[in-house]
Amino acid sequence: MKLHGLLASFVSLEDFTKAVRECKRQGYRHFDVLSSQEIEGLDELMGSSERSPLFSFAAISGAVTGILTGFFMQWYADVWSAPLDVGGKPLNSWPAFVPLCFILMILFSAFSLLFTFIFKLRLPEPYHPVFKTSLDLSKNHFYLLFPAEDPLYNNEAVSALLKHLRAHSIEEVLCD
Amino acid sequence: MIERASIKTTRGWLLLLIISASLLFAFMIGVTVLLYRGVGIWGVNIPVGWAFAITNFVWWIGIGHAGTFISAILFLLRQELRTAISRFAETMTIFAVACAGLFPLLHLGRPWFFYWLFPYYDTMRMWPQFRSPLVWDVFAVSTYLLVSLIFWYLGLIPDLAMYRDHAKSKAAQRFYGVLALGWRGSYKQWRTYRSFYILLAGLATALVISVHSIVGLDFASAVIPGWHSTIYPPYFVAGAIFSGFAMVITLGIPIRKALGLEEVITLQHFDLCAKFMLAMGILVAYGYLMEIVSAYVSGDPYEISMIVDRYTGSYAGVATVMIFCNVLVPQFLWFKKFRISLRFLFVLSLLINIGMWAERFVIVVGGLYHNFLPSSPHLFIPTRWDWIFLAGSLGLFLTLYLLFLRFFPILALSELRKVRLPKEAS
Repeated sequence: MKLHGLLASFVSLEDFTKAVRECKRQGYRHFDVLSSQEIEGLDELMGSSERSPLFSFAAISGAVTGILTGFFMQWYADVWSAPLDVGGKPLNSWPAFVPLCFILMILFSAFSLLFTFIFKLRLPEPYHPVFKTSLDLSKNHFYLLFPAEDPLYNNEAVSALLKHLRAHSIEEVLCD
Repeated sequence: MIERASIKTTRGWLLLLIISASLLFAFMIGVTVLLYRGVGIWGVNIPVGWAFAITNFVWWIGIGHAGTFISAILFLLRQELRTAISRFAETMTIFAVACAGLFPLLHLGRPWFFYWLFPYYDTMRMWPQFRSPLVWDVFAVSTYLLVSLIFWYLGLIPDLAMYRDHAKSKAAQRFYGVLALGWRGSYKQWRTYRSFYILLAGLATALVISVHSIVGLDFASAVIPGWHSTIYPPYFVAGAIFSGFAMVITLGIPIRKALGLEEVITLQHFDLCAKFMLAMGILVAYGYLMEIVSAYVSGDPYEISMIVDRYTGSYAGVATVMIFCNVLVPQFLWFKKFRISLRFLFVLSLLINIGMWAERFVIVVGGLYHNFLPSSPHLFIPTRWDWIFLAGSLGLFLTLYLLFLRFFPILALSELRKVRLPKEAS
């Protein structure tokens, strides 16, 4: 059994905020926050305010691919592969192709976002060491996870620090 | 803090489930008979080829729109109040679109060839006719279902993780654990989630407007009187959101009561939904008025005779129901007293649901049964099977909904818990 790290829980948001701030001040960089809800303003505390353009890029590239696919699909079918003259109307009647281009823009964009999300987080993730601990997202607790890989990590020091910061519970997380 | 927002197995729930499952069973029998004998079991004829099936389709898909509206547009507008009702409205969307999608499929005549609607390279080089709004419908509705499904499921993931951790039995842990995809609510997960969710909400917003517009185009681009007007796309979208909000109220009142959510879903929510419904109702009434005006302004005798026939002809009764339920009854909502009386709202929302169904019937059947030639008119009389399919689709919807209520969180739990850190003083 290898040690993965330490998991501390906090009951109140205040204690938790103080703890994050203090840990950052003491130079810990690699700890993680686990919570059942989104915590707005945490970016500032964790010191990573820059937003990655990854998702916007995924959405836009999906959208462009969707429009082009939509147009090409309709043009290929109705103009190239099986042209059908209806009362002398133009074969490449592009205004009629617009609704489908729009719909496919949304469809492709949504799926491109979904795949980006899945790949970025590597979901599904059936195993993680914290699943073997008392981590309970249904409770309204806030968790801090200190990985043992952190060069600053020292079991006793971190444990003492967390105790000092009024952690509700502290437990060791073990890898299988 | 709410940890679970699902109903327990109670007698009332079981009774409702038995009733709706029986309706669903009747629906399944209906589908079997339909597959065996064909669409002739319905009262459809020439010229009324669409009748109940397409009325039901348009009605169900309209209902779905309120869910997307609440979860996407109100999310982007940062209306925090939406959090309490977003999940059950989104769920309503998914199941309503599922019911909607069945009708055009069953109406195909040979539903097992449904894949002919999609473009694929076959040996005869038969492509769908991409200039037809009916083909646009196929894409619009399937995209709507897929995107709403992604949106809904992604919203569910953090709540499913809560259910997983809350579950006592091993089987329940496994069940929710698999569905939660290993969510643990880490910092990176939440950050990614937020960027993803907001962009997806933007996409879903575009769908709210576009899907029913495309359904409306079915009725805009035909040549027969009553199906030949550019009014349809905006008028359909307004009608969709109108009926959708009515369904949100119809479902919301009993859910709130059954789960004791008086603290979460407050009277203010219903008040706002009612106000919104009133606004949409006025838009719909404007649509009815404009149909009359544009028929007379066109000077086309067929258009004029269609509109006269709508309100005085064979289906004038249905049109009266439509005007009564969609135009007159919502006027009560000008008064706060009625907007916060749940009993009144419940009855009113049912009436609006009926009224909106009547509207679709008036447009579909009223437009078809009466066209240019004196020899054409042919009344549509619904058969027993028509009614069974309508009631059966309600059964399908309610069965799915009741099962969801039993096993899944009907509130967006993690969103309700969302906290905001105060700005750092230093």
